[in-house]
Amino acid sequence: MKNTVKTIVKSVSFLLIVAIIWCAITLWVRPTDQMTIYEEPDNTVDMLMVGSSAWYTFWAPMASYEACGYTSFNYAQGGMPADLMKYCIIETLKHQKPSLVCIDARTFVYRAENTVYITEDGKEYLKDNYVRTVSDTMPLSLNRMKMILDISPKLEDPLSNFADLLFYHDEWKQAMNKGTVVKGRDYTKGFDIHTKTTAYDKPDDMSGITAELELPESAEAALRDLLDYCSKQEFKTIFVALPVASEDDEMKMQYNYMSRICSEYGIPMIDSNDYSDEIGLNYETDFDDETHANYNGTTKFTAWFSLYVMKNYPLADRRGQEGYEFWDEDLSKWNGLLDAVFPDRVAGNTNENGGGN
Amino acid sequence: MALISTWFFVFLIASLIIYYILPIKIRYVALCLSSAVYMYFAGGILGTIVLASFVILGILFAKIMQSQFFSGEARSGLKRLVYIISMLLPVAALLLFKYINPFGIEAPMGIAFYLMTFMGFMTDAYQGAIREKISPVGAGLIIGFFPMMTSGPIVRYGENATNIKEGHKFCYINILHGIQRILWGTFKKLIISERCAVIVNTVYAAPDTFSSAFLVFAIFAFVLQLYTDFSGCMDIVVGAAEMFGIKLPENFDTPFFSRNVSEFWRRWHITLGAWLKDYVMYPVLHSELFRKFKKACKNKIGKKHGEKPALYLSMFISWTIIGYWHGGSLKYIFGVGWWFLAIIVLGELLSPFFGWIKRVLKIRTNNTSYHIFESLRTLMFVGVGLSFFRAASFSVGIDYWKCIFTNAQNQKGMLFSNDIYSLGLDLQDILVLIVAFIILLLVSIIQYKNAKKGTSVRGWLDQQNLVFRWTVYIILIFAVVIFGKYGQGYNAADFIYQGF
Amino acid sequence: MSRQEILDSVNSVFREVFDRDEITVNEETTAADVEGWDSLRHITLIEAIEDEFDMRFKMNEVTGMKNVGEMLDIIAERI
Repeated sequence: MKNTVKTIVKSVSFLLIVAIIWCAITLWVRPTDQMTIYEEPDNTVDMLMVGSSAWYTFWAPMASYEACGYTSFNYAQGGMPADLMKYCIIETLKHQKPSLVCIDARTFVYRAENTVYITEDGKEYLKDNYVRTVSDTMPLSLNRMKMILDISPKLEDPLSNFADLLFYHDEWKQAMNKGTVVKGRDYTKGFDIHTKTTAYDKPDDMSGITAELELPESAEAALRDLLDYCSKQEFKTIFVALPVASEDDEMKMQYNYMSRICSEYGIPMIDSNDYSDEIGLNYETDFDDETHANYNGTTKFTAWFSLYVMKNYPLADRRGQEGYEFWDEDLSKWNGLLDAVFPDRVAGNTNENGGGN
Repeated sequence: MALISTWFFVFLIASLIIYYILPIKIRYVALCLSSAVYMYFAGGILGTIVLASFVILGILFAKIMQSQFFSGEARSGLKRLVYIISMLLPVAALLLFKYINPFGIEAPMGIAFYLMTFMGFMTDAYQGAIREKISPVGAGLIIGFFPMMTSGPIVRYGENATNIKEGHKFCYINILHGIQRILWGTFKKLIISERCAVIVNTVYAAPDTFSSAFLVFAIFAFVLQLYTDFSGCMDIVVGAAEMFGIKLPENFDTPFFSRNVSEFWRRWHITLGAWLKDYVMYPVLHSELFRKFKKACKNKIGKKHGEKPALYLSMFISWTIIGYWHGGSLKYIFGVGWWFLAIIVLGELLSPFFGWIKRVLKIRTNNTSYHIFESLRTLMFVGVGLSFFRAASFSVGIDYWKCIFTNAQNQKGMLFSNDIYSLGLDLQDILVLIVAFIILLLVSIIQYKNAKKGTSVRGWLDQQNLVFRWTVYIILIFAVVIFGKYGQGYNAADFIYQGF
Repeated sequence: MSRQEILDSVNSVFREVFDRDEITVNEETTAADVEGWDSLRHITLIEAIEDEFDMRFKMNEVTGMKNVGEMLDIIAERI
């Protein structure tokens, strides 16, 4: 009997050691040069943007901080899978207490086209590379494991996501070359400057359309799952449909459908495309491509949405507050970045035409 | 369900759990069940039907031949008829599925191996070599026990049936040693074999673009690839069986320490060589026909050498069968058959001459340096034969050798030209391969030395301290996980000998 | 023939087959004990014994005998 206990204890300890080394090597080997919200000091982010590349081109947290003192962060990846946003929020909540969470509505609308694929025998799976953009940048936590466990029916090869060392193991060559990467704080707070301009025609005004178009079943299920979670949390939630250069009526009708479902859970949704005039969007100069703003568009949207938040949600002005000094440090780095990208600009004004925002 | 895959791992654990939960007297039920399930998922419907058929036939024929009905002389003719039928069926199946293959389909999984076991079993039953009453479960399991379905080993009723069918007590050491063995096999396969495969494939794809040194090097790389692939597979198979407390026969015994080609074939694919010796060579040599032939030879060329022609003829038959067993094409019959026959016979014929040289030059043969010389010599001969094994056909093999001799002009000194990277591996992979090879060599030396004492590497490991043991395990596990060639784009799970 | 006589005859066959006069076998002798008794020589030895005693071993005996003692048993049965 004593021997059995000894054997069990030995086996369990051995497995634990293997697990720890496994995690350490996973962290070393997986491609995570990207900076994340997990480097921010605890409890300093008041507003969390979750979603796709739309957030990280349209919303400039530092611009909003400079103007209003709002501390926000873009938890955004290109092609963010709608199914995973809930887990991003859960993970963030371990270190932050945002009072407002802003969700990119378009993740549910592009889901059918971008996020999932259907196999020959008609099964729908999440595209592996988009799942990894999220799982690779998340700390190796139980929440992350639960996320993979929950979505494993939607994964074609769940094992390589659970034990992603098995997937990334070949990266040991790169990992050896890059040495130790010390990830610092992201002074752009998850923002990515785009500078290209593509001219578009101003789309028709869709605000009059009230008809609805159902989302695909799996997208709606993911939507309800997220809404159910958010409605039970302390933070306030708002769904935002960010501007696109060519909103069509089909998209509008899907947003209408989503909006109604959101309201079932007491969560508001706003379609910024209906407010393009108020935002001052110029479709010829403000878009990098169809779904991304260049910095012209960014400043306009950031200003507009900051005002919207100011009117509807009591967010604190953190400028000058104790414990938030590092935001001022980051602000000067941010301005340094803008100076570098736009050498002709006047501080606080990056409009190419020299006019005010 | 490849041997190196999540599914096999899960399947093995499930089988083990069921096995040890059942009462010890009926643990064989778990084995039968697992083997049926395994063949269904790994071998498909065809594989399952063929295996089931031969299991049933095997039990039937064996019981019939062992029965009282045939115990007397009176029915010996009838008994022989039954035996012949029982042997023709597997031969027909092999011919049909592997050589003629009219439907163009893949041969049912494992037939090249378990039908050998089957035929040996039929022969043992016919000759009365099996003393105890044949058990259907034992018969079924020696034919169809699932770890053996990929590449054998070829087993015998008398030696293995009891061990496989009798339930074994749970023993922690068995589990531990089994896992270690599986880990070691995975190390050989995923780290060494797969890297060698890259080199070999690159060179064999375009032999006329490589200098002679590279062409020769690629042959050695293939030998290493084949060895680590096949013996790695056997490690996994034997290790898996060991976790059930079952001891399957070994197929490899540090073959590259052999002093000559004869010994090599007693250390490489051991169960195949033993099968051929016991079921082909001996019966042939012992037959009346051959006795007469031997007498005639002795009369003609004297007693001392009179044995040889018969011997060589029987070896010729055996080696042709080995060649054929690997595949019906000439490249196998030559490369894995007649080439080795030639070397063995040459060795025999020339041995007086070499003996004279050794005496004249006062070369001592009982030391390490001579042993190394013999091992390298053996390796060279083996390499030539296997170079044909790897070639797409016999003529391609010949062309390869032509390139070796004609590309001599393009010599650039392998070590010092950057062309080492033209083999398909980058510097880091080459380093991993070298280190892994050195580890393999060291372990093999320990194995070779311990074989005489009857101990094993794992036994030696058991005696070391905990920290050392755990460090070794952890290094092995993570070496396989990090440096193993598997994952997207790799079909490492396919073993070379699985195709037979 | 007595057992000892059989053993003596077997011994002389060994000496002839292996071409060495010093060889002495007993009941426990196995292939490991005699140098040169490999699988090829084995069949030669078997046939020489068969010729000496004018009997035949069965095929499974040829491969199944564990030591000289078993060989003597079979010879004693057959002659």
